[in-house]
Amino acid sequence: MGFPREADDHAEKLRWRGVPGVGDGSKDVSNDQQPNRNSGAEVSISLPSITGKILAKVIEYCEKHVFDFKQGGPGEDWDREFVNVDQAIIFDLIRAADYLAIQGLLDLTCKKVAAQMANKSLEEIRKLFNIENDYTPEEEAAVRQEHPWAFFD
Amino acid sequence: MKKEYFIEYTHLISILLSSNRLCGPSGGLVLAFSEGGVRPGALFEFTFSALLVQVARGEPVARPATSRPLPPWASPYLEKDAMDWFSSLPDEILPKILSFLSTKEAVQTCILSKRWRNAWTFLPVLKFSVADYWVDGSFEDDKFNNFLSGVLENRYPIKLDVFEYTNAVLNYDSEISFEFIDGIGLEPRKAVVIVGRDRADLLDYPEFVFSCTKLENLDLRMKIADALPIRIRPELVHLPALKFVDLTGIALVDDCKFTQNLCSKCPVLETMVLRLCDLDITEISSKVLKELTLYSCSQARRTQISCPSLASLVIESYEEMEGFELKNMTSLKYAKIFLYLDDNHGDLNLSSLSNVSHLSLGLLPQFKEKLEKDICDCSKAFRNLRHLEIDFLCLSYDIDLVACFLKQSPFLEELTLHLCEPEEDDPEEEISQEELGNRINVLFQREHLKTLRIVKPKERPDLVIDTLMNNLRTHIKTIGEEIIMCET
Repeated sequence: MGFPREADDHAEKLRWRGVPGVGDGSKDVSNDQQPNRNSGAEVSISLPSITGKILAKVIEYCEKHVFDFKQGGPGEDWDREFVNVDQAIIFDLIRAADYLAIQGLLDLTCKKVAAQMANKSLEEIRKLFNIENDYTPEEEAAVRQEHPWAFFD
Repeated sequence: MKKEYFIEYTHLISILLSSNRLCGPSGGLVLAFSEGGVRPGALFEFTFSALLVQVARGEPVARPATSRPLPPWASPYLEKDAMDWFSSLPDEILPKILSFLSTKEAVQTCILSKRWRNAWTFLPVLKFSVADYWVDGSFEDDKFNNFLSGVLENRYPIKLDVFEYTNAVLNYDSEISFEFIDGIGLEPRKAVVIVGRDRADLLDYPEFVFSCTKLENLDLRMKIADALPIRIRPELVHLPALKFVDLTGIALVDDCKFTQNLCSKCPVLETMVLRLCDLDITEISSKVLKELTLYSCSQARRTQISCPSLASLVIESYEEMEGFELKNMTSLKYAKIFLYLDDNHGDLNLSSLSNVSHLSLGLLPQFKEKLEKDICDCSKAFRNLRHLEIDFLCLSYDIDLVACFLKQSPFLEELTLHLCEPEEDDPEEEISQEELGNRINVLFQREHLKTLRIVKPKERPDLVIDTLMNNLRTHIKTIGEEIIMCET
């Protein structure tokens, strides 16, 4: 398929470690699988699920936060800067974090999206995220009737 | 020969990497993927000398008509104009995003589009804030009460993770009714109740947070405008699953039995944090408590702390305190004591700290004198002490205490000294070697210290510490690593 090799920037040594909080809980990781050591081999892997750019971002986050348990992490400023990116990247990061079960990154990115929704009218939110309002006026009125306690502004 | 693996992500994937910077048992992540889709869920570990990541982008996939999210292997943003950003996210993520909004805003998203109709009902976090209903200088209590009951009646009965109630609006006339919420049987994992009023007798909060069978984490913050900590006297305390409790601004009094109840009726209570509380209690006694932290509390009388499982004790207080009697501190590993003791009768028995491995002490008035007396006379060695940190150390003068510690701790590895700003009227003396010998009546030299760290105050990065270093070197033969840094 002839795709650009971003790989050269990603040459890294990889070794097995375990970090609690990543990929645990809801996903059923079978921990008793014997690791298959394949040292020294040069392996080329296609990762069609997640673009190299997003993978790099996820790795960047994980690398910074892997010390959370010992030293309290890089701090809010770094986190804030990390999610100061295009909408497309934020949403790709959410999907990646959800799929890879990285709680900290998922919280951070969801919080960023929530911050964009806060204190905005419904129409403003729809516009910002291109949400198509598929309610007919009658349907919308019905929903409002159903929960009158929620709408009184 | 390069092998190419087609990677199909499954739910088991996380990313493994490490770099030269990461070392030690806490570093790294796991990269796992299944090979060829045949054995989904298999976990592999690889050691690569170079990882070549071939970037593959899937074919553009037409946006599905329903709200089913795109499969992870398709990048949805190839067609960029006017695409619904949320369409690529699975349904389960929407409530997660909403959980960072106030519940009031979250509920209103049901009108955004059909997909959002019931997203809020799966909110794992409920946040009610009285400030949301404060309109034009008056509180709309009817609307608030209706909202409370509306949310609770209409939400999907999933497990509630966090319940948060904030009422920091100091003065209003109306009353909030907690009858509904106290009666509905909410069982959150964590409850945060933040209440501030202008008068103590008008303080109101939901009582159910004191009797939740599944509550693991309770964060209670009380504030009365410009006044002292407030007593609370919950009718019933039944929190069998409570693991963490964090109390702010509460007056703990023997009569109210609040702390006694927490200690005796919570069989798994591991962590207790008290901030800005007033302690008028004779004891904190628990067989299971592992961490006890007291920040800026005040004290009416000396308190006995008897917690045989306690591993960490932090007492940080810059107001005069009566002191503590530490009993049964057999499990204590970490202690941080910054204590300002009352002139006449403040006390803390320091010999009970002799088993700790990490000790951090702030040399506040009275406490410093007490330390010098207790530690230097102490026959018990600090055999387990590996890390010692001393704060508010004034240059040149307090070396005696450090020397005492060095003598009493044969296995000390790391010593950190935080220097404080020298007083205006203290001359920065040059102490002669002879005078040094006279002053220091502890002639002791230990072999080796792994790390010595000196932290200079922010305002004086130029502070000359040669004398101090010379003093220290007379007591320590070899120092592995010497770090001199400025306070951050």
